Amino acid sequence: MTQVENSISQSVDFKPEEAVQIDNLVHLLVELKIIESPEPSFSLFPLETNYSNEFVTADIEALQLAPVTIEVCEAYLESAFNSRQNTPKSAKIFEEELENSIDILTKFEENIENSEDALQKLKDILVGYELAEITNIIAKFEQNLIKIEHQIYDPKELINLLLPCISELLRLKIVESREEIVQIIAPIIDQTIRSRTEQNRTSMSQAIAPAIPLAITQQIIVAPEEVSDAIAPAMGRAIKKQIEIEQNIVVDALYPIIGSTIAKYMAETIRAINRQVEETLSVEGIKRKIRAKLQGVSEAELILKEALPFTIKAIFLIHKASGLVISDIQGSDAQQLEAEMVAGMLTAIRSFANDCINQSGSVTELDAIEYGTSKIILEVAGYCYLAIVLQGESSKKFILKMRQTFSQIVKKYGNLIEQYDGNPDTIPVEIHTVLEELKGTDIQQEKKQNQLSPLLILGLTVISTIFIPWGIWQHHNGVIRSIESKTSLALTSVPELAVYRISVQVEHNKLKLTGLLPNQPLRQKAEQIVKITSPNWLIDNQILLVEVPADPVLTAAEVKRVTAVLNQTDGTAISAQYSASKVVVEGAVNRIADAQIIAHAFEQIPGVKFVSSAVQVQPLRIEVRFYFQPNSANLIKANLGYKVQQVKSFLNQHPNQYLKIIGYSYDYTGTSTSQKLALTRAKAVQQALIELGIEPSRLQVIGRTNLPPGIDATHPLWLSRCVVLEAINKPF
Amino acid sequence: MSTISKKICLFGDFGVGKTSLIRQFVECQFSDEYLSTVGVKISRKLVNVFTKDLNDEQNLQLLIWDIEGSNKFKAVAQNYFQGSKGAVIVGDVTQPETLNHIREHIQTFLAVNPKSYIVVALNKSDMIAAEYLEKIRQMYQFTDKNNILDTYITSAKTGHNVDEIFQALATRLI
Repeated sequence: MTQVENSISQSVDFKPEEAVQIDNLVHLLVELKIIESPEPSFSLFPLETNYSNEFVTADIEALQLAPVTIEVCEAYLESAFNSRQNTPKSAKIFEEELENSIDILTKFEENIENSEDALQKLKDILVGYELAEITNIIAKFEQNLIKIEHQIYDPKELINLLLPCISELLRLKIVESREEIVQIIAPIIDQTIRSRTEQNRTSMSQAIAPAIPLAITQQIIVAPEEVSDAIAPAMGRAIKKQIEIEQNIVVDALYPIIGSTIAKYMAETIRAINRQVEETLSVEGIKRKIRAKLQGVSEAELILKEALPFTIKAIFLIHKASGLVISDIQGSDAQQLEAEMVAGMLTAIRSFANDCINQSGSVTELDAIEYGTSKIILEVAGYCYLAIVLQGESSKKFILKMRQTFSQIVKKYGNLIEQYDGNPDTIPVEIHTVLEELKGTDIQQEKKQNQLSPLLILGLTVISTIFIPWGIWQHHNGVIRSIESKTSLALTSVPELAVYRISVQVEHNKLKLTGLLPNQPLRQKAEQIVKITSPNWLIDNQILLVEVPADPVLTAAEVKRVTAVLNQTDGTAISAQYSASKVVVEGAVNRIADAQIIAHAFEQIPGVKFVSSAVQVQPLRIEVRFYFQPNSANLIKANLGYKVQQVKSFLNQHPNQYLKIIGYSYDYTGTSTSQKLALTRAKAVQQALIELGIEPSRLQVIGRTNLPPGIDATHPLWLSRCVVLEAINKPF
Repeated sequence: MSTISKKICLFGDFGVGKTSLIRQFVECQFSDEYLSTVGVKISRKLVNVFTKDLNDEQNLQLLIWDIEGSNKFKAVAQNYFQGSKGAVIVGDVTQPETLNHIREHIQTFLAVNPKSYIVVALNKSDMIAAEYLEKIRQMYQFTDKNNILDTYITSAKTGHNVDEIFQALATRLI
């Protein structure tokens, strides 16, 4: 801008003397034909002419002012756009400056007018065109200026101005610092929504509507309790309202569950009532019960049931409002019912009943129509109902199955049924199939599952009340008996106890043993055996100990046997007599010890209580005596063979016996001669025996001068000249 | 092609000849004997109608609910109207008040079934001079409503226009 000012101030300072120079210049310019095309010549000028002066330069600068200024202005304009705050001020300055320049130009024009024609001409030539241009440009500037001012000061325009870039601005800002934007908007966002809602509820609803279901779903996942708390209070009212608006849809929604719920409740109630009735014990009650049990439900009903088996004649699924048949299932053999007519009439009857009978506003339905032995069961849902024509008594099971089937249909095809308009093609085949299946529930199946007759149940009850305790008792007895017999068998299979009679009895959960046993060990043994065979029982041992009299025959035999055995012993010769548990022993033994042994042996025999022993102790004797001639010690030959042999055989018989050979030579004086003779006599016998092979150690010789035993002075003398043998038991 | 069933209602004032119209239509019979209908009587008639493009025939089973006539003590049972696709509202040309009730009947029916079609039958035309008939017919045109197809002068006795009313209605039900 200073450039412009300078150039203009320079162009203003024209001097009259300089006019000539200008003239020349003009001519020159004409010659150079620059005037016709001033702009290119301006640009060429500095290159082609060397004599350019300050004025011209200044002029040219002035001429060049326009484009420069435009650029500058444009820069200004741009800056005005970019920084709104600065715009008014700079624009003002710019305006002032422009006005100044215009003033100057005006002055300049006046100066030129005042000058000569040439100058005028020059002016025209030099700046005429440019001036016009400048004026135009200025005018444009002004226009733009006004426009800018207008745009800036008029909020509407300003808005228009900023509109295209504001979104970009916001977007950039959001990208740059999201948080900041959030913080800026956060405090007012609720208010914004609220005020918007107040302004236009519909549009606001439409705006947030798509998000609401999702939002609720999300919240249910996050905090189901909160959602429940929020919705719960309005729930009842909402259902009520919905029933007011469209009852059928609610019925359809609840139908599949409400039937079973009520059925369950009812079943429980009836069970409770039954229990109460059963618990009432009065004469009348029992009488009634017996009557009912004997007759089943009632006799007439039973007869009717038997006479008229339950059969389904037809099943119709009927559109509730129009009475059009949706599905018609009829037995092929039976007489065909006119489904449309039946359905229509049933619908009309239902309508009539609902209209005329149900006046209190309560929602009750026609359940069944009975005619004679036939019956039409009506099961009603929201938009349709099921009519079942049947004969006989329908079973509870069938009703249950029917309800299940129906709720299945309603649940699955509720919408189709609701929109049914008489075109059977719109009804899926499944409905017919399901209903056909329902119709297939016929009497055969029912009969199979027929319950036992109450009479039979009563009979069984009576029989079982008698027989069950009896059976238990029997079983108990059996158990006891088996235990007893088992124990007895165990006892008898033991030989020691087999001969005794021991009885086993169960008494107060104890095994009682009774009987007689001869001794304690046997008693204990019996108890032990019982313990082993019946380990779980306590034992009451009542066995008595008794002394058993021995068998006299056995005892006698035993006595005899013992006697025989004892007689086997050397030197023992006894006989025993047994009578009345007394043994009398007689006989002889070698030794006293043997006599004691004998007495003891007999005492050991059972049945022998007393032993009377008369056993005499008698040593072994050899009655062989060798006789000698007087004063001779030689054995008489006759004796030698026979008597020595006898002694030898005795010794051989009794190998344990030793032999004392005592030689006698009677001499009452007792001289040594006699003594010698006696000894020699003994030795002679000894020698003879040795010669026969008797062990010398078994033989002892003794010489005596007294009379031999059993011989006295009265006897002949030769009897005293002898050798006597005496058997002894022990070695010398 | 399966038979489509449609329910249509036939009603009007007491004694205008509704049952006779049906009898004529279904059984082609007429009896002067008067029998009052109690509640509702349902008849059916199989008709053939051309589909809208006229290329195909369709069997249509009309289930006609002959509803007990109304009198000043008893209105028509509206429950019977439910699910009805069409209605024949009958008036008696010999009883002007029955004709006057027609509009009321139309409104009652349309309240229950707003999308259904109605044909108005001015019955007992055999009992009135032919020159009056057209005038009466003009008087009871209810074509201001789209649902109302036309008003016919009918005679259950002669069978005049009897088949036509039902046929006209049936055609619109497809």
